[in-house]
Amino acid sequence: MTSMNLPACDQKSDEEIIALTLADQGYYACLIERYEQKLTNYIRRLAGLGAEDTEDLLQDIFIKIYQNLNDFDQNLKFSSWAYRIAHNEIISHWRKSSSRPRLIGGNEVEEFLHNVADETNIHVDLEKQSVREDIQKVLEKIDLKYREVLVLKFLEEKSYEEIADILKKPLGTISTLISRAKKLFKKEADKLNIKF
Amino acid sequence: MENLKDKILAKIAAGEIIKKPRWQFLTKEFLIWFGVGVFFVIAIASSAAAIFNVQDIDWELRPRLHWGAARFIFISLPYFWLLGLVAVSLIAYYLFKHTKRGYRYALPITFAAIILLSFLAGCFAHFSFRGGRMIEQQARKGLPYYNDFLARPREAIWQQPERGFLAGEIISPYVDNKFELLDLNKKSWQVSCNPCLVRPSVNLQTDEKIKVIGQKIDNFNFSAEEIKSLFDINRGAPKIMPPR
Repeated sequence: MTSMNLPACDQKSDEEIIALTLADQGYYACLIERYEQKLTNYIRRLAGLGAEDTEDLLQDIFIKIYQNLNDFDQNLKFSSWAYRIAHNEIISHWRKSSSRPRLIGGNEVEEFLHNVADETNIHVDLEKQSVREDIQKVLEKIDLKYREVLVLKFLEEKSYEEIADILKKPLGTISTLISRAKKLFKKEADKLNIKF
Repeated sequence: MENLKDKILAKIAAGEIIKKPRWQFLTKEFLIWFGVGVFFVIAIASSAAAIFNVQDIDWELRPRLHWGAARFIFISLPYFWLLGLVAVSLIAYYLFKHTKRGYRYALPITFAAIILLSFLAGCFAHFSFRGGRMIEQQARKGLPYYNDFLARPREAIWQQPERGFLAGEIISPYVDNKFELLDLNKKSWQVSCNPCLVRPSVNLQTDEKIKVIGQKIDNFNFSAEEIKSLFDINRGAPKIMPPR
């Protein structure tokens, strides 16, 4: 089945589409359409890859999701499960290529700071280019386990429960990680003499 | 990235990508749960054996040994079973964490739950069908080095005839208020009962392993005051031998 004859699935939930995909593989196109952009953003935010590598990785992720469709737990949100697979693939790719994730860049700095500012006492002038560069520097200093929760919470805007399901960690651990990540962000900013 | 969807669908249609069958995931999940079950049963067995060993501690020895409570408890605790319980509980937790939803439960809560449940089940096994004794017995028979490094050092407390403690195996029957005992160092003793208290778990028969509290008379004779089983819970009112 190609994009020319896609089944209609706009009104259907992810879980309904999965049930349909298990019977008719053509419905998988709906899931790809629905998550292509979201997962592309996630890969870019976490792995900081170029367009070509991002597409390769995205293809691997969708293949993995399809191969494992029979393992999908209906008690879980599909998006959490898909992000979990994406997360594992990104980390695996990152380890294989041993490249340092760049995390975020460009206009996403604004999005990140708007969200993180709601929960911290950081106030910034986002118009300044130097501020964006500073934020990038701070984020690069933070350990991956803290960066990934910052991305999921403040860029992907996932709830604590969803982050727990994506990273396969207890809820309490996620709360602690986010709390520490926010403190670390401020601490690293202070160390670098960056005032927000 | 325009044709990513088509590329993937084409691969699926060509059979290059196939869904893993459901039974594979179910088998994996079953095997993990089976592992959790196996290690949980071992945790129950360890708990039962630990409870048996704690109950078997001869608390009345402490004043006779003139040891402090801390030293006595330190020597008497069944470390093997307690450490075994912790180790298998950690393995059970590790496996549980890899079940579908196991990651949602934090280590301290899951670990405490496994320990508590195995302790309760261990109590049931020990008090309902003497499971703890059975496990201890099997360990002594079959576990390599268990006797040499764990059981004997605890029994060695009983190899002090000068202080009034003797343990070993009865090698001649109880006749005329006497019997012969081969102690833990394979030395033979004539043990007399004039009279002495005998715990209900002791029958004074050949091949029976016992502990004796009394007095050393000379290098070959020992006067018993109380006789207990070396390998059983010594509860219940003792009988007086010879009967009056």
